[in-house]
Amino acid sequence: MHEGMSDEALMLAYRDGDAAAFEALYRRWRSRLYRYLLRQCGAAAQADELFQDIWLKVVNARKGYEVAAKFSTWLYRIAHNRLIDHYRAQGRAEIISYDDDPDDAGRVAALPAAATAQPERVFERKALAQELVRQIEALPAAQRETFLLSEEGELTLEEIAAATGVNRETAKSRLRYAVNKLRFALKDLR
Amino acid sequence: MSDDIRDEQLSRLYREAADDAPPEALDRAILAASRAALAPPRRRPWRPSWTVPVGVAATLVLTVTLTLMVQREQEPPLIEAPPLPRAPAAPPEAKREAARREAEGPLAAPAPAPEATRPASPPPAGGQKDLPAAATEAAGAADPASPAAAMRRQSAPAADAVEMRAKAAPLRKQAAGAAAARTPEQWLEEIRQLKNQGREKEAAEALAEFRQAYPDHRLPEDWR
Repeated sequence: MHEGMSDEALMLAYRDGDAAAFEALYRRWRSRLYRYLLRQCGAAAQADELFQDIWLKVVNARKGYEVAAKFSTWLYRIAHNRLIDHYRAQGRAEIISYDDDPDDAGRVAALPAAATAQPERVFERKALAQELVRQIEALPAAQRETFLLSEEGELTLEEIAAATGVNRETAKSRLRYAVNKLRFALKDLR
Repeated sequence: MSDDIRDEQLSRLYREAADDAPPEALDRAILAASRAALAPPRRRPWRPSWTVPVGVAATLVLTVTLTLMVQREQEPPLIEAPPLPRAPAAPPEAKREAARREAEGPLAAPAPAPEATRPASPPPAGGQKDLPAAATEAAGAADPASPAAAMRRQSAPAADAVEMRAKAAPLRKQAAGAAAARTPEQWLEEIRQLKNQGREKEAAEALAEFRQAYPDHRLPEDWR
């Protein structure tokens, strides 16, 4: 019944009292949003807490929901803000690293070498994928988030900029840095 | 997506590792919250509209009743407390006669009888004002541990006596006129003389008056 509906239509239906519409919407985005948080936090317990908070914000915001942007952009905007709050509460340094670093490109060479660089495991795609995840988690927070919004949220540069509160060029720069670092980290493994 | 910046090989590799998902318990909690948010707010449990006024009325009635009861207990008795017999040696027959006369009042009492049944001690001086004290004293003698309860026990029979007096007053006034001048034996002799003279109607009326005045007096054998 809800398969052909857009995310925005589902959210509007939920706003109007259709509980099944919310469930369909949740099923679409639950894993991708969860991975976005898990990669950022690195701990499942914290990811669980943030994940629940974000969806409850969606539930509570239903009455005032209007289609001003793609649902995914709106959802990740909520997630981004909740993540910033989480970093602040934790006193973690990631909040500082959201500032763009003009010398960021120079860090590529300093990235840790792949832990699974042994030749016999190069062809093990699963291990390679896990190494990619490890490298993603090692990225600076702003670049990591931009990469995850692109991969998990499937957002465009404009949508990433809207979700993270920066302009398109900043988002583009962050994504480029992130991709280049990951390529470099995995170049010997591919 | 992110246009030309994306690396398709990198994206494909990343998706192969993307198998993390939230725990099922978290799914259930969030979906339950989403449904609960749509549920209409729970109303207060239904309560009949009449319970509040009935409760207020019951409270008022109880308050007024308790107030009146307390006031009645604090007021002095309106009637004279019965004099307490302090002569324990009085015979039971005399006690019964005294109680009967007390119930009938002083107008019905024949002249000679009260002397035998009058209490040994005089009534307390001071009139009605001192009556509660007297009653309390009497109650204390009967049950020192509970003077208030004793006072209540004393006032109840006194009230009954007042009521009985009021009912019997007209009849006793009539009979008392005849009883005041003669003894029962003299009165019975007069009735006998009326019978002997053939004045049966007058004799019957006089006998009726006599029986009102002396209901316990034994009549002669030949009249029964």
